[in-house]
Amino acid sequence: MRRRVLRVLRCALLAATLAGLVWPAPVLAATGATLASLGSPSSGDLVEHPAQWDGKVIDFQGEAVGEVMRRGDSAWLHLNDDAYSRKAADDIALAGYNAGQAVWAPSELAAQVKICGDYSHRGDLVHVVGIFHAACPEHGGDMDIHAVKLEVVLPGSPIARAVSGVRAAAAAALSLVAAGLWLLWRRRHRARGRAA
Amino acid sequence: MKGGYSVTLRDLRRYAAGMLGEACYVLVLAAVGLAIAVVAALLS
Amino acid sequence: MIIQPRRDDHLVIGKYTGKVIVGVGLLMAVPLALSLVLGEWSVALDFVISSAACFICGFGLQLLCRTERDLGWGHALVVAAGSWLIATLLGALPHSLSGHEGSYLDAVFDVMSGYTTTGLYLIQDLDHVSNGLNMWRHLLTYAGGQGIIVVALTFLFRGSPGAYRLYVGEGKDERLLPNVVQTARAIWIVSLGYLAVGGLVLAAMGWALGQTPLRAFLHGVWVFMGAWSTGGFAPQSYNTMWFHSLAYELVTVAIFVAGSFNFALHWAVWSGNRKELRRNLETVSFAVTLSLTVLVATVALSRLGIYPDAVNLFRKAFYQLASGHTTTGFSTIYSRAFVVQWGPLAMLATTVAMAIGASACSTAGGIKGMRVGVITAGFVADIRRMISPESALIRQRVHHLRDILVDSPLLRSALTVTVAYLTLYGLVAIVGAACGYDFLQAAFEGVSAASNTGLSCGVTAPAMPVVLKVVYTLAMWLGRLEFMSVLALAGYAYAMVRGR
Ligand SMILES: [Zn+2]
Repeated sequence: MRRRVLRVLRCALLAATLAGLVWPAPVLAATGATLASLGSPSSGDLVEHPAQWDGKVIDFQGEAVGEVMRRGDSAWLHLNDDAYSRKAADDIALAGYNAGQAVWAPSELAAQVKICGDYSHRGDLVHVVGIFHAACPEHGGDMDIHAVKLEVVLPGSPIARAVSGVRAAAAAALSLVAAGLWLLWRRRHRARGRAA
Repeated sequence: MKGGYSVTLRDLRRYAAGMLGEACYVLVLAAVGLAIAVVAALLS
Repeated sequence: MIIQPRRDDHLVIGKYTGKVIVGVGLLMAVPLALSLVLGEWSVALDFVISSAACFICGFGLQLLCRTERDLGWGHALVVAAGSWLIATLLGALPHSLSGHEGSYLDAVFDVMSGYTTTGLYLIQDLDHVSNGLNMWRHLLTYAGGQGIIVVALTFLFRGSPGAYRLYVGEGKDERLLPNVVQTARAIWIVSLGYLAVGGLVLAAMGWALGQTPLRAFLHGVWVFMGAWSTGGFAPQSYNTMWFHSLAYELVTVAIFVAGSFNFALHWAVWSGNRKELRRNLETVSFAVTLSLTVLVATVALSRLGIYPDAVNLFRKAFYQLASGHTTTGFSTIYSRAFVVQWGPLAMLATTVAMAIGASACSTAGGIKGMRVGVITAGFVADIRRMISPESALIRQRVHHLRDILVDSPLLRSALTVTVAYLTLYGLVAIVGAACGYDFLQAAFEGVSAASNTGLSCGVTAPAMPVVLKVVYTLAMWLGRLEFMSVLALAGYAYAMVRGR
């Protein structure tokens, strides 16, 4: 009897979880915000003073990295406005951590972004105008910018990664030494195996 | 697995059942977390 | 009197350390192969150099140290701590050669963070890191989660009593199966089983969420490795916020909670004893402390009103807390958001969750639910004794695979290690504060490092003081190996200099 009650309770709990998970998050009503931008904060400004910029229309510019993830008629992209985003494609010197913002944009706007930054590419430099959310109710509380305008300011390009001759030589030399030691080790190992 | 390297189909079925059980444990934890969030949101 | 170690002792230690280092070199074959497949030639070269260096050290040590002696307890502890240290120094080669690290110290910090499944990082411009290096970052956290000794045990050792001592030296003490090499294999069955299922599920979801098949696959495998090892590394600087998906978040929660389970619990459940999930001391203790810390954080956050509705509140509070409590370190908020948006109370709840940590003999760090449970049981027993008649015999038991009597030796060892952890947390926090950071932030970050969590509130950065980088690296090492081995290594070094 008690076990049956427990089982019913457990099922109810699971059902409640599932129901809670598929519960549609309240969609932001179109705010009818005018496109007059209230400023162009950096991602650092936005992260440090989210309340100050929450719900405001802002200008934001950065290098698109990773990929554009299409979700139906909108898409996610990530724009880094760190020091790397302002560098030439062949300049790969260190300049600290990455910093940027997630941007939610209509697919047809996001489709303009052709090259995203990764190991072998400097991504497109993208400028957006949109509404900043410190904790977007539509996207699970993520900090994001809902873009209404998007343009590629500077197209991305491949990063040339030359193979260093010195490293190739070092690799060859070290591999030879390693192989030699391995052979020596194997012979000793075998000899011991026979002795035992 | 009794000392050997081979894993039989029966073993695999047991493993899958075990994995599912562990997933249920996590689901229960998540349900508690969600319940707390719902109550907190209602009260505030 | 301290006895100076003899030549024979050095030989045994050198030989077994060499074996483990060969294992690290072999591990580099995976990122090497990936970079060759993807045509990242200069990255491949870096891995050839690094693995050759490992083989030279590993085989060289074994050739120099020829002995037939088996490992004693003392040796095993020294080998465990020492090989983690050397594996870190050599494992940092690919990081350093990649040009993404500010210094070799930064590279060592990142690799120690990887092996110890912490997840703090100093790597710069992560969003432009090669696929080969990303594979290495995640693979070493995956290997470190099982224990690099376990890795070596599986492939390179035959089961000797010494092998079991090594295994214990790495902070694991459960025999899943009578033989230690079989135990290591059982650990791999669980880990690889989860890798196959979890990696595929995440890859499929990534694809559905708009990633290309190749990126979805790689990210699936890497995020799996970061989650399962309770490591917290992710291939993008946005960590798991990259995916913007409730479903993806839930699957990662399932993986890192499973990763934080005791391997002996996994093995019991996978052998058909599913009741153990409800009765086990560690799962119960974890459920209770997680719920309590989630409750505190949720109340704090809802009072601040940052997250507009229940689902958002759940997604943020539960995710960061579960990630912190399992000592994973995945995060769907910006590091600084802990300070700027979450505020002191929610940060404190997260710090407590990280300090407690998850299960013993798992991939997780922290004080561990087992000790919290045993200490609580001991406390309850004392209260029961106080309110019972003097003649009554109070026997408090806890359940971990079988019923265990909570007696003084058990309580004493649980308390000793707990005090050691608390001391470490305190010391690391003080060093952070001495470096000029706000105390709460220094405590948060220090506990995160020492409990091998990896959540950051912004203290860890390439520009932070060198002292703090060194202290965090040591704290990660101490915390992961649960003190004993590292102290044995220190004792060994001391005895070499001062012993007679
Ligand atoms: Zn949004």
